[in-house]
Amino acid sequence: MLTISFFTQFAMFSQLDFEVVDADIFEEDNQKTRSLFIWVPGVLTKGVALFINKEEEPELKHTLRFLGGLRIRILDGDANSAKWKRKTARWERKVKRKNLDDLMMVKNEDTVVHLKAGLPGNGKIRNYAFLVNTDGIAVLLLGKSRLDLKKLVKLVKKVSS
Amino acid sequence: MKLYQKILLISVCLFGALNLSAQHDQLLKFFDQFQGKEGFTTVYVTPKMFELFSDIETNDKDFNEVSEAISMLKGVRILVLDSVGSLTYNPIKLYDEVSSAAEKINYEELMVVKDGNTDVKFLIREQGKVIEEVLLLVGAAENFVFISLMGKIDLKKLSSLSKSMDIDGLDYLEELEKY
Repeated sequence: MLTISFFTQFAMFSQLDFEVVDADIFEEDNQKTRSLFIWVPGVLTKGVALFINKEEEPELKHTLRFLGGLRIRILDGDANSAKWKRKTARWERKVKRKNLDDLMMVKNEDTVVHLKAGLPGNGKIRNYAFLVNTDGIAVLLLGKSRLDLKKLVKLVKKVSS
Repeated sequence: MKLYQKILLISVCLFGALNLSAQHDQLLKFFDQFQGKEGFTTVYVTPKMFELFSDIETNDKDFNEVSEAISMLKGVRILVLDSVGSLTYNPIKLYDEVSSAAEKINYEELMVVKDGNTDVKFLIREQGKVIEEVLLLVGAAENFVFISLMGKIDLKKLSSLSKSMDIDGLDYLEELEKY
């Protein structure tokens, strides 16, 4: 009974999440510049983690379990338009308000990449922001997590090898 | 020691420190000057990034070796000019300009490697017996690379960085193994 009740609630909740995801793919108010917002709820990645074998892929399971929710904003179009400037300025303010530490910056003629993270000092990543602004496309990825850096490094090493 | 002697000694120390900082700033200005310009790519890895990785302890021997090298770094700045299709700047001229400017402001030449048409120069800035900065300059007909590694640097450990960081130009750090 308890199991059925749990799964019913889980199914309802995940349906709700998917509706929100679909509803948030929005906005086409300007022919030149279009924006897209995708929200990946933390419960989704946690749900995926349930299907991963802890013995075979412990790092991947941990990463998915503690990855948390993701908010992805994409801007596509004319980098000189007023909408583009307004939106990217708003993104920058949003990231600034989170008081994240700069980790890395890459800049060339028409591309700027910023990687920032909130590091509480216990070997975990609390918040992170990844901002890419190129000529024609800009992406802001914001996330909250409780990722253990040690396990993340192991996963990256495993994937790259 | 009399008061005016103390004041004089403090002033000399203060001016010395300011002078060293100003010398270092000159190279930072050079880095900033070309940031975002046509043909140039700049990368700045902050001290926080290195702190992050130096805290991790694992049983992995390779990772610990790299982590040890990373823990001594306080920041990395990379400037790359890829002049294919752009004739605004001459890479060889930039290489000569930067290396002569660096030598003028207390950077000592450590090693020069000539690899075909490519010149590679390692320069260091020391404070006492501690190496505080390693400059790596690469000059060729079509590209120029300027890498500044800051921190308390052990040259023996530095070469292991090239294996872990897949960044153009850092592979020349392997040359330090020969030093």
